[in-house]
Amino acid sequence: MPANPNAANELSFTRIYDAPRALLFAAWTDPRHIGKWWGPEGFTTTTRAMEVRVGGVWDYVMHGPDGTDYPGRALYREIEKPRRLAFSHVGGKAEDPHLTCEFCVTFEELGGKTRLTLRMIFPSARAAAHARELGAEGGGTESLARLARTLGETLD
Amino acid sequence: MAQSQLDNTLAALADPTRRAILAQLASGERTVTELAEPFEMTMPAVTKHLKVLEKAGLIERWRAAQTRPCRLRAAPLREVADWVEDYRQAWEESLDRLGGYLEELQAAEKGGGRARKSKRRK
Repeated sequence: MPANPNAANELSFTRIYDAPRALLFAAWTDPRHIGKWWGPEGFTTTTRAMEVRVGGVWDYVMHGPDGTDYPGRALYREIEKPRRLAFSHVGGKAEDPHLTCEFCVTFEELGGKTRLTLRMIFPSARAAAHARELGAEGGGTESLARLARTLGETLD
Repeated sequence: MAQSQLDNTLAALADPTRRAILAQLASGERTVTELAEPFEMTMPAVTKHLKVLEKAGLIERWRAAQTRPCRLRAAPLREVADWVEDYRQAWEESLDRLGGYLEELQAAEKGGGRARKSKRRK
């Protein structure tokens, strides 16, 4: 019996943090902060550029404990400081960075604490078509950069 | 599974009709006619969905006497489920790290204040 196909393309998380909402929002949108926690245990993240505005891009490389690099790009779709953040994400391994996903993050105040809700939908329909087109031309950060530019151009 | 292949498979799974087709196939082989039955869809529309699923490697079709039966290929579906589970685990860890970092930041804010005060006292 195969796994349930209905659960196959979406993930969501809810966490309550003992920290003010503004700090949570900053942890997601300030290049000094995001590299300190982004990625699983043992990973580090280098931000190459981060422009937090609708249509702006966060360009980063996540370094795995075994030395593998995972380039990633986020294209900001919605920014409602300090309540909500949505972005299209493209990432993966350096030679195949074509995994696409829509992220939606909300931050709710709970008497000094903050409830974070993170929703991810795979793949990003908007990003996938471009990713497939670019996939035929070979992988690597070059195509990723082009993809991010293309996504930027399709954003009106 | 390569990430671009994974993205293709996930794209195929993103559609509720296609997921319903896979759920039907989970209980055994079906012909296109049988698959089309529960949906208010034309045969060409169902065939279009089947082509997407076939391209993503999620089903296989072959020619029998008068029909083209379909069957589920469970392996890629399992691979996707495994990958999603790994990804979920990775994000649990990342959100744990975020919690730890927020604690550090807030402790440094308080501690930093004390450190400055004690420095001034010297």
